[in-house]
Amino acid sequence: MSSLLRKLTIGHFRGACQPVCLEFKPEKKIALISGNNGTGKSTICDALEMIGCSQIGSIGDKKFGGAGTNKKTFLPSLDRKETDVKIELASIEGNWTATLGKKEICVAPSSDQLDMRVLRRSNILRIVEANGTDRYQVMREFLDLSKIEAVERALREAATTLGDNANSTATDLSNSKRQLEDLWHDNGSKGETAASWAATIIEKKSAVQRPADLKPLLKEPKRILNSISALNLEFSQKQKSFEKTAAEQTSSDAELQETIAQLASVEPAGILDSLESALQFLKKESNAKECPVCSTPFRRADLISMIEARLIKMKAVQLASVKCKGIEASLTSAKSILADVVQRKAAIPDALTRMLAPLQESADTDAKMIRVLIEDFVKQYQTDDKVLPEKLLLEIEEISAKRDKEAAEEDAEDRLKKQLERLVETIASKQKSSEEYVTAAGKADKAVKITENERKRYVDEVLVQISTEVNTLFSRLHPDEKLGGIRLSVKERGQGSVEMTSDFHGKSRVPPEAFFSDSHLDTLGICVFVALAKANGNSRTVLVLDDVVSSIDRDHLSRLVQLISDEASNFGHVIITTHLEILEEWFRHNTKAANQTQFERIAEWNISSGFRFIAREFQTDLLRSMIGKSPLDKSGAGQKAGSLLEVLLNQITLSYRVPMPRVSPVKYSIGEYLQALNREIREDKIKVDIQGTGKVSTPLSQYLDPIENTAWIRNVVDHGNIELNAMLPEGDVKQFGDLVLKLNDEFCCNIPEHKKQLC
Amino acid sequence: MSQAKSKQPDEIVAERIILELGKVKILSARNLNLLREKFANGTLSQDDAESLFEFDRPEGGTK
Repeated sequence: MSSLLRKLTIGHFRGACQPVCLEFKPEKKIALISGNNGTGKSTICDALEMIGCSQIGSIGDKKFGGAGTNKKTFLPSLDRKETDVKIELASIEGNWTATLGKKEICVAPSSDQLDMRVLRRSNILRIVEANGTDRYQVMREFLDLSKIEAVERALREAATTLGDNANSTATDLSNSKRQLEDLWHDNGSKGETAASWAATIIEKKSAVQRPADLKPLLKEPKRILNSISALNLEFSQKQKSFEKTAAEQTSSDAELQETIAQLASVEPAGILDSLESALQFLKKESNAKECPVCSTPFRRADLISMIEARLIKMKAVQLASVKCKGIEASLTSAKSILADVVQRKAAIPDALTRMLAPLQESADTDAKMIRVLIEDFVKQYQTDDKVLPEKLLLEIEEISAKRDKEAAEEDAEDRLKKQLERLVETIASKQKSSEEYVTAAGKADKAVKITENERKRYVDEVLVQISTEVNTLFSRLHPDEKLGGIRLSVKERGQGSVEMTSDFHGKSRVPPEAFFSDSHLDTLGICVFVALAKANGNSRTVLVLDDVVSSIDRDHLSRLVQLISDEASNFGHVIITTHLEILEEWFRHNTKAANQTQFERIAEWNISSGFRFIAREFQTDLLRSMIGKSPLDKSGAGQKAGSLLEVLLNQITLSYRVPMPRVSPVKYSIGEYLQALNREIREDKIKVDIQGTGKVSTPLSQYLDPIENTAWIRNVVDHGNIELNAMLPEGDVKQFGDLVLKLNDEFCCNIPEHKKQLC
Repeated sequence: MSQAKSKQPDEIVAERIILELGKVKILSARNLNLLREKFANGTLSQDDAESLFEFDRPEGGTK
């Protein structure tokens, strides 16, 4: 069967400082990549994980930096940027390219990525030594329950929310009921229960229709009534003022008449003007000494004094006259003001009567009463405009206050009624909601339980299957060892937790980490991983084992190689990296493994060029190449054929269980091998199974007899004698090489469809 | 050359859950269909989930 992967190109990613390319051989299901520590093996596995799983690979398992450390930034090679990273994978299923985006790994195309399963030593520890939760975390990647878990999470959150809603609604309901109880008690606990009392209040209709508000109707009459007192006061003041002015006028008139009478007795009428002219003349003519009319001599100063004295007396009359006129004007004004006040007082009854019209239209008893009171007052006022409205105003205020009190009482009742209506409505609504939320939460809880149970049941079933497979694999690695009985199960009370137990020398259901050796735990981890990958594996699955073998001894390693080569057909491709040369040796010496394995070696890493692959050729290919060349390197080809023949004869004697003398160290010559493979054995048949064609038998002597005749060549080339070497015929060396290759091909054919196995 | 796509674990568990939910009639047929659809792509939100169980909501509708 053709392998899945074709070519992996890694550019500026981790140890790949320069782009490096690994071409996979289509006929090889397994790629064994060997290299010393720190050469870039994990870089290859990380690259495969990045392009297959969009994960950052091995550094994801390592703890460094802090909580906010973005490990993605450590993926580029030294001195390279994230944008330089590029990984390309070609396969028979399609081609993909992985790069580092700003926030995450970008794989294009993003759909139908290969099923990449990468096992590292850290995963083994998490499988076999970690707690159940960590073990589950490793396993859930294989169980692929992400969608179910997402739905389960949503259902769980919904159940919680609905439960919370049910609780909060129940609390609200309880609060509302308590509020109703409190109101019931505050209002005298009438009726049997708070609810029945509330129902009675709500059902009760408003007893009377709320009377109209009289305040707007009374506003204007009250203003007029209030103005009466002020008007009366004003009238009183104006009247006093008028009377005072009138008195002043009388007095002033008398005083004027008296002054006039006194002056008339001493001064002739019309003399005033003459005196004023004379005074003006005398003040002007400072040298005048006699009268300009009669020439009578006078003393000017005396005459001026005399005239001024007379004029003063005559001015007093004038002033009194002016005063009289002023008082007369004041009197006229006071009379007019008084008349205005009188007029305004007279207008009050009419104004009040006009304002009564709205009250007359009202059927309200209080309105009628107020109207009568005002009408009575008007009548009284018309009779006596000095009557004061205080009594009337007091009566109106009393009526208004009485009405306000009644209205307030009615408002309180209304408020209570409305409050009860709201409360009863809230209680009914909360009661309904509470019941509905309780039902919904119950259903959601049940759904969550079903989802959880079914998921666990499924996981348990898968784990039983996987346990069976793990035991099968583990027993193949550890035959005849009294351990096994691996059981994986979901912990009863642990969400997302897997328990692992095993049997150990008669003790059953013990934790393997308590009894197994490190080597056993390693192989157990590998078996669990392979079983998990196999459970969901298909031709799109790539099994990657990143240097997972370290503490396993030779015998177990040999079985592990056999197990991997047996299981490889369950996957699209198996990639194994190792630093152990012995593992590579076992792959080469295991016929089945060697047939399906591509061997790659990584050269030493350096910072400028990163890592590169070294060509690894089969010894048979090298020999075939050497004997095909002209001129023939007789020494090289003879030595190569001889060493390959040693390996083949060792394998045949082992397979046939041929007795050999005990030596230490175990090292036999070709002659000793051929001697041990005696005639009886050589005449036996080599049992070969040619796939698809059934069984064919070939006698061993057919290959060994011709080889025995030419094996001396090995001794000649090994001897190192230049002269002997020169005399050696090329044809004999070529024939020796051909015979060895023929024997090898019979045991280990490289053509897949002719694959043969030693039984 | 790829194998026929087999049922994924998610799908298998989803079918089992739907079957069990149907048996106990927690959800209506329409809601089961909605749940099946959301299971298929793992996109059931909390709101969706609440609407499956809540009252006075059209069946299969979301908030």
